Amino acid sequence: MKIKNVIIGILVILFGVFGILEASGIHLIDSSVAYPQIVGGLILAILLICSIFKKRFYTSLYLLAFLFMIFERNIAQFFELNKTNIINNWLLLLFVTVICIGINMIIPSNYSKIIRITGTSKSGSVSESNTFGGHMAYIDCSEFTEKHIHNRFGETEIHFENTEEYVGNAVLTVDNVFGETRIFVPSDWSVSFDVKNIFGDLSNSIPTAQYGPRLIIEGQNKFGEIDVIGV
Amino acid sequence: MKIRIEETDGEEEILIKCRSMDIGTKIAQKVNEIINKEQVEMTLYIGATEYYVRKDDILFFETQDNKICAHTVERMYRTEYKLFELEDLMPSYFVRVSKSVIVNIKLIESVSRELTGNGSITFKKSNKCTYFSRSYYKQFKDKIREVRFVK
Repeated sequence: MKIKNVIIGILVILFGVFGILEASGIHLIDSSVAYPQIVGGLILAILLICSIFKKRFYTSLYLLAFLFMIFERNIAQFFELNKTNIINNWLLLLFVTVICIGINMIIPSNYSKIIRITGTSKSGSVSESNTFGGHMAYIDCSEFTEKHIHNRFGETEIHFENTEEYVGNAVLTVDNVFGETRIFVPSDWSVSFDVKNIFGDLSNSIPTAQYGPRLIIEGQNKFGEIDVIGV
Repeated sequence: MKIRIEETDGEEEILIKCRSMDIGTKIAQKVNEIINKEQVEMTLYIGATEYYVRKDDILFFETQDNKICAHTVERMYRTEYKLFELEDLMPSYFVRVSKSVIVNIKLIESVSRELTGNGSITFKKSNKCTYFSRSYYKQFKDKIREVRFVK
């Protein structure tokens, strides 16, 4: 049992207990002290320090936002503002999310281990997911019939290996949201490109009518970019 | 415990004599690991076809679709071994750089680290690239120093 988890666990329990007591108007010790606020702030501060040390910048930003929400009234009093509610909580979370997206676009973080998921969809085909990170997918053409790639807020590159084994008519389904997906296809293949586009950018440098083994690219692109590049 | 080694002219054979089957099995496993490490080639697969690939030509191993893939400059193969088994089977210049990747340090061209602590690795004479995790970075860095700079 990690000591850090024990400490945070105890604090969370205390936060819950004090919260219930405060909400029901029961004050055990000193009624002027906001115990839930103090305990909640302590928990968030510990988590913030841990996330900074682990270089989890996006988590740190959200924890700062939650700390701001808890101590909003105190901050307003400190800066002698007229209103106690400085900013709406939902707006604050929205703006923090926008900041995280902006930071990731400027400095994409490679290989977000937590977020890269490989699994099997209900149809039995294999899928790979990438969110807020960089990802390289290598598809083995000797066994390639169907593959799903999900890319959200990140950058994914798809490369084909063992292309001499490829028989054709495999389906690559790409689901791209707010990110960039680049598909590197051998120039002697023909590509059937049928991707639904919503406020995004699609480009395909390989003509559909070309002879050669056929690759079918389907899926949808929302606010992002999908490029098919011949190599 | 006595250990006796006899040199023979005939077919290569390793005979283990001991009181307990458990000890004998463990010794046999260790001997097997040593022999496998010494082998220059390993058996890899593309589909049902077996290929005998030099270990020195393998850039990296990675987990994909619940299988382990071995990447060389030209191709991608499958192997039956798991990553933890490959850590024992492969020579010492193969090192784990993340939960799902083992790389060949001798074929690394560049290592670039991001602000988050993770980073990417590129290889000589190849456009292939893989990623390392910050939790494995220290042992990765130590291994690079050991393999590439120690005379």
